[in-house]
Amino acid sequence: MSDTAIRGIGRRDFLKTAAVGAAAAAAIPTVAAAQQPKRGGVLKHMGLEPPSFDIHATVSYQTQLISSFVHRTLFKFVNGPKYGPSDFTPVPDLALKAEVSKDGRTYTITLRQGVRWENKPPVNGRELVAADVKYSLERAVKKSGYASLLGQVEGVETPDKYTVRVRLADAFAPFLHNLAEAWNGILPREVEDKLGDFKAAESLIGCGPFTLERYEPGVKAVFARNPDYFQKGLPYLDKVEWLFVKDRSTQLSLFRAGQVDIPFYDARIPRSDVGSFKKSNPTYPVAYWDWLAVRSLAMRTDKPPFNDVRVRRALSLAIDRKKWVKEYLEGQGFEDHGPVPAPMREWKLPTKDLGEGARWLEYNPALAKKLLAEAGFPNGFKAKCTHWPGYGPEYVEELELLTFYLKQIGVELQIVNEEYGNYIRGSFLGKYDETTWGPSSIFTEVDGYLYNFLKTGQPNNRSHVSDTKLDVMLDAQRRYIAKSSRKKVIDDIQRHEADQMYYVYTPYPKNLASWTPWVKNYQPKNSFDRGAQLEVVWIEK
Amino acid sequence: MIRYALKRLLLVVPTLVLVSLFVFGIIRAIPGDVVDMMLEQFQYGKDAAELRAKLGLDRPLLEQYLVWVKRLLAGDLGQSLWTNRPAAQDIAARFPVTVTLSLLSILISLLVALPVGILAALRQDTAGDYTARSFAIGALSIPNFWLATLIVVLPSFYFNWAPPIGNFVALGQDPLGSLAQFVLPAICLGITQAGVILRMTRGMMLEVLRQDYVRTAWAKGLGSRVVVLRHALRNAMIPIVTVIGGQMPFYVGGSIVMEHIFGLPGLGSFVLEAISRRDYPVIQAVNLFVALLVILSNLLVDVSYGALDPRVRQHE
Repeated sequence: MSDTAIRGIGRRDFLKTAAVGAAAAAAIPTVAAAQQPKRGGVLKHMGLEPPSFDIHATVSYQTQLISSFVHRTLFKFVNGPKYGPSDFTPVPDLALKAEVSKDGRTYTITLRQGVRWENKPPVNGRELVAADVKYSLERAVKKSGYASLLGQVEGVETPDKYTVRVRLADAFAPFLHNLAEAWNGILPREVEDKLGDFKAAESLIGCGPFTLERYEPGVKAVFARNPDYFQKGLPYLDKVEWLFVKDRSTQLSLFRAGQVDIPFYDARIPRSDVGSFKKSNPTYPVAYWDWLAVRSLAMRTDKPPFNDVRVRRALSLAIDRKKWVKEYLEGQGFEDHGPVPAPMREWKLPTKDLGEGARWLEYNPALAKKLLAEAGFPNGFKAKCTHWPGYGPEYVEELELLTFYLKQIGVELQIVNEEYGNYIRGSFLGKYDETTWGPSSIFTEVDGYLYNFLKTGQPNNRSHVSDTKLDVMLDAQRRYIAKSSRKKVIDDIQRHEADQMYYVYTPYPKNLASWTPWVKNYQPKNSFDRGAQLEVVWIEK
Repeated sequence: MIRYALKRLLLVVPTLVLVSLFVFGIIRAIPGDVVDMMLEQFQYGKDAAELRAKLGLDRPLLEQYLVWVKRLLAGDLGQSLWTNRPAAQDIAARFPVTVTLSLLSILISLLVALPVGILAALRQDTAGDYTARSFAIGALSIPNFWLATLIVVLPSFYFNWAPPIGNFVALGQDPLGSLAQFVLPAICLGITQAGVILRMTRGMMLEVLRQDYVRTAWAKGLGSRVVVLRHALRNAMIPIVTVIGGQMPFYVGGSIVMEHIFGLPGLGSFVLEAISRRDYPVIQAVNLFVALLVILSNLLVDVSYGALDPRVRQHE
């Protein structure tokens, strides 16, 4: 990995990204103005109750969703119908701009001036300054389960009140992007000093578009417009009610009845209900949108039979991905071969460009049987496959489909349904005997799907991949700040993964979303920054 | 009677000790350790020993149990491992929801079952009796979660209407509005029990109505209301009250499902969440609390025998 690459292209690429981001940020009010936004109204949103309100003390997305109403980040992703669900162009939020040094190791972030914390104890409306950012970044590095997504932070300095300088041990391409994630919200130190931590709802004190008006455990959280929000004119909504109704049927019924405006935390409605839904609520918009949770069969590649690449390739060859998408998903899905999710189009390498690996993604049961025979399994074999059925009936059906395909080549998956606690702390983290199937976590940066799942020793490396060549590439893609150079490495990673088939990725559907027709400027988003998403939304009844 | 009640109260102590031991042990026997889960949520794989020590889970089980009991005796039910909130605070906030739902369900069961059961017995083998018996079998056969789902889903599909869910109002804030939220879940929960009580009432009434003293009462020319309600029903009530008392765990258990479907913030949904997170202090506190309730409700049933039947009082 040459430093020249980082210096030469990296700086230009970053400035380009920042410029696009700034333009996009400026475009938000323009778009809103064109559609004549209305102020006022209460948005009732199905939500989830978090286990804790501390964004650093948990990796729970429920916590990120709810805290994003109140806490703001240095950068945020573009929001609104103008941008796609997976458009993660970062734009300034609490920061005005960022500059990266030539070696890609030092980021100098200039803060927006005049941002004030809520006018309540213990912060009492004081100005947000560089010391707050230093405190929050250092806390994230020390406490967050996502800390590795900030690279190796060597130090955070505050040369003046509005400047933060972050030094990294090594160049880390996703650094700025990841600052826009909801788990990187900026927190006021006084709250931790007073309450001891940020676990309780009372600690939800920030500088975001909304303030926590009240929290009723097991019922809802109500957020009201922050009158001192630094984005003048935003948010449009008076209030957001974040409801903790857990039963899916009840959620949809309340939505059908117009009692809530958004039927799920990400506006999703089940595919199986779409037909009846369109009949009962013909005026409600229904939209397909790209989903980033890839599904894969993870295998113990560190022991037989899955340490034999021929076996892994055979499993992939048994799946008719085209038919799966066309017939089962009615054309509304992705054949996705992983590891980069298909909706991440700027990084995704088309199947035709995968080289040798592309042939293992074809549907060829005869070749699959031949490979199995060569590997010493002419009659196939049985393998346990752990799974959490609580993901929902659609997931169970997909696993049944996978089981069906594998049975055609003599491989019998014996499904072991696990209780959530066991699954999430076990199989989800690679603790299983033979295979496990399920969706991935969602990441907004491609590195999340690569490093986490393929790098030796990573907890999310469910297939127990240990491949020196791959490790080198995974480290390299993190160091290339220049997008074009980074893309080349990521292309190579995708080719290598397709050839080695460390995970057998299975097709998955696009999501269906709906919201009440009076909710305007809404767009489903593949991020957990719900505050930024809803600050541009208004209600027009 | 007082001595009898005191004797029963004394028996509560060993029962609670056994329950506490069982609850303490069984939650730790469930696969999945809270430290593992917290580390998965917090920091992958770091400082497991430190976290275990911080939570006091590194000590021998007996010691942990004794520490818990000592705190219990001091009135401290413990605090959540996840939120740091005292379990007593959450129980106090959620108990009124569960108890309101349970009491309303019992009330609905009784309002349906007693009159229909009595009438069915009085008109044995008539069309009314057959209808009542069919209703009882139907009520027993229909799963209450299915009924609840239908009640929520169907009106929204056909009439774009749904029951008021998701904006829970506490009883103290708006008594009528609050009770309105409980009516549908209480019907769903109560209807199954109505089937049980109806069958029991009908059977017991049939038996009592054939007794000599009832025949004598009729022969004396007493009014049917006096004969049926004072002489027959009162004597038929003991087994019925026993059934109702014995169903307390059902009401608490059933409330978990109803709270889930109707979005009620009661103890059921709370303990379910705590179990999935292996929040030991909360699970222990809620289970002990519910066990105490069940024991006390059974005690109440025992005491009511005396009120219903003078022979019990005399014997005591």
